[in-house]
Amino acid sequence: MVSAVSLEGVSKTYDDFHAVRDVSFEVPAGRITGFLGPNGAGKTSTIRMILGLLPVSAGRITVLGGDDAQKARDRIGFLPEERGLYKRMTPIVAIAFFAGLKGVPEAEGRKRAKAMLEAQGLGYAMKKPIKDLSKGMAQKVQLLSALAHEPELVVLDEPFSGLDPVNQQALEAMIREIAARGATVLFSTHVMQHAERLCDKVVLMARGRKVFDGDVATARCAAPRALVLEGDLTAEQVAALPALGTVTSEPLPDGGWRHVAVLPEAGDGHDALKAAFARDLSLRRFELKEPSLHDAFIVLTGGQA
Amino acid sequence: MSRLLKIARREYLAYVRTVGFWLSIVALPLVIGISASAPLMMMKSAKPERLAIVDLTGQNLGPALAKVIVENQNRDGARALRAAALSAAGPKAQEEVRKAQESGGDAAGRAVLARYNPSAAARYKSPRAKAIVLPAPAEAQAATTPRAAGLAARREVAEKRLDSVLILSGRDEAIIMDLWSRNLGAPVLEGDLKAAVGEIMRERALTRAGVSPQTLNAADALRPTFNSLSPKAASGEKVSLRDRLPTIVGFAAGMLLWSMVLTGASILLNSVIEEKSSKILEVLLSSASVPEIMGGKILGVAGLTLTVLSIWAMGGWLALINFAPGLAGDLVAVLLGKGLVFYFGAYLVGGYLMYAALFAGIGAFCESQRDAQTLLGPIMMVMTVPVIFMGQAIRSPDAPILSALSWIPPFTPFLMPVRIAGEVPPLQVVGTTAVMILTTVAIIAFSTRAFHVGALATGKIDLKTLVGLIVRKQAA
Repeated sequence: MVSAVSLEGVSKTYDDFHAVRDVSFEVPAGRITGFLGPNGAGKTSTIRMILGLLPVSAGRITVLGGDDAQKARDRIGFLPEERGLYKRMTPIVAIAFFAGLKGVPEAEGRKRAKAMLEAQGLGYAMKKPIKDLSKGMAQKVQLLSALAHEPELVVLDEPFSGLDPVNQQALEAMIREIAARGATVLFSTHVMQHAERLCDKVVLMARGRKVFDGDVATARCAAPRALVLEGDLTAEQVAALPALGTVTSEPLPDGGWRHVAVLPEAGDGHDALKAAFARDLSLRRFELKEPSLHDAFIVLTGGQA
Repeated sequence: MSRLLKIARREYLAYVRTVGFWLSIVALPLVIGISASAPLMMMKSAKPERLAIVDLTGQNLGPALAKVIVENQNRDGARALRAAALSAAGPKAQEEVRKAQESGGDAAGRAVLARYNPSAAARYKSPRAKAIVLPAPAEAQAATTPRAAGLAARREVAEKRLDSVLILSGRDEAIIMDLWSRNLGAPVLEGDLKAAVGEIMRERALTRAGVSPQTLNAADALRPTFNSLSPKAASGEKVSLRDRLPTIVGFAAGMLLWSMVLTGASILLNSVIEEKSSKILEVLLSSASVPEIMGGKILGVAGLTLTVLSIWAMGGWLALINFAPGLAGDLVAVLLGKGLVFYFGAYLVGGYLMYAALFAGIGAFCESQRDAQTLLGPIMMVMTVPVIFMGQAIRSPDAPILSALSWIPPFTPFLMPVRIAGEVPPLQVVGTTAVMILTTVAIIAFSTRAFHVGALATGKIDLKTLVGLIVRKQAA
């Protein structure tokens, strides 16, 4: 598979602080890749190095086939973590201005801006100053500013932060649209659910290091499945059931307990359930819980951000 | 259009479309105009002082003083007409008006001015008299002692029937002047009255010593013929206003450059701070190189500065050709004849680039004006130094301290325009300009790096950290 971005042994240090340590991964062309990790994991530094805004301290980065992202800047769209637009500009002028910096002629930029704003339901606001728009609307305008020049690579740094659930959903749809037209999307987030819904591939970072690089399903495999049992049964009774690992328990608000028992690899919990019924334990509900990306992340980082 | 030009265009339009920009264009000339015309306006609007003179000397000093007051006012009027002639029609007209005044009084002088500049003659108004001498109140006239006269004078002044009452007492060399006035701070006529009475006392003392009135008048009329000559004068000897104009123009240009550079650099600083605080800089950095962004911003603000300068120059020119056409002609001759306009242009560009690049680099580290104040403090102190010395440069452009200061690049763009009008050695002109250019290039290089580092930096940064970051070429 062709890579839009490739990192080989990339590190970034600020004085004695190692923000990024020996990170290597590839972003496949035409796919959505999630760049995940908690705050301070080194995501923004890595993104800035990919864009050529920061020099690498060690390693090599290839972007859209070249070593210098600055030379390919017209083919890249970027939404930074902290958003900002000229407050007195109107959305249509702002989008056309940033598209213009990427080489789109002004008239064409305005035409595209108008079409994009109308498609996003912002047609009525295209001539209002940006300072009069809501935060969600302004963020949409900024994203459109990063897309109006139809980039081959779209880099979004924490695009969901600060958005309400409705706007988050709208943004997810926009990201899918970008990928559908053939562009490569690399977005960073510390909220795993977005990545689970959107990504073909995820790269997990923690404390400046890459802890995982692969598809979502493979990442999930890093965490074990679990058997959830709810009812008036004790932790000792659950622990005594066959083929179960560690059990964690918590009381339920309406009485009884919720027990989560880790299943050993390849275990499906059938033996434990059979035993529970055979012992006539007071069981109100049971569930075989597949691991989430969040679970996988906790396992992969050893629970340390 | 290149990225640099697009950024410059946005920068220019963002400011030129604001009401504040147009207000700022009007504000400075308005302030200068008001400051320059305030004394004249106050003088013109002031009512003549109602003055009464009580003469207790018994030597007829009061009427003599009243006569001198009128004569002085006439002399002021004649002088004002000559000044108007100089401003409106040049030195030749001034001389013609003086001759006409001597032979036919002010009316003849005004007729001569009308020949040179009819509109100026029509506009001209004689200055209003400072004082009108009114008869003293009867009670004061009847008084025999200064104290009794003072009681009456005090009442007249307190009840606003008169503005001032002067009581003259004593005799010969021991004249006492008691001036009752409503103006507590500084009586308007005090200086004039002291001078006039002193003059009368001097004349009378000389008369008592046997000097005839004719000799006195002849002595009073004695005036040396003074010729200001210089080998640097255009005529080769006699110094005219036109010869002095370059220095005056140089001073004005120095002040204007200082003001334009400071204004332009401040606009640029605010613009960068706004982009930094609203996180636009990072987006710009992903779309254009640092030199393109900085260059675009500097060019855009330079456009603003030139717009302001052009509007002011046009306004000034229109005012000159309408109100002082003689001066307008001389000004053109000075600016173009000595090539001063090209020097001023070069120093404007050099000074602006030097300070604009520095302010832009600093702005990239600041999230607010408060952050900027900490970093700008030392620069603003440096910028005030040339202003202190500019006035000195008019009187002695070749003073050693000015020569030395001109070699310090941050001062060069402001001090050299004032000095260039004089006889500055060519080596100094070339040398200081070369040092200024080299420094500007170094500052641009330093600021470009600072801009890149600062644009991506977060948190408050002091001067030490800033220098450290730039020197280490690392972004925080």
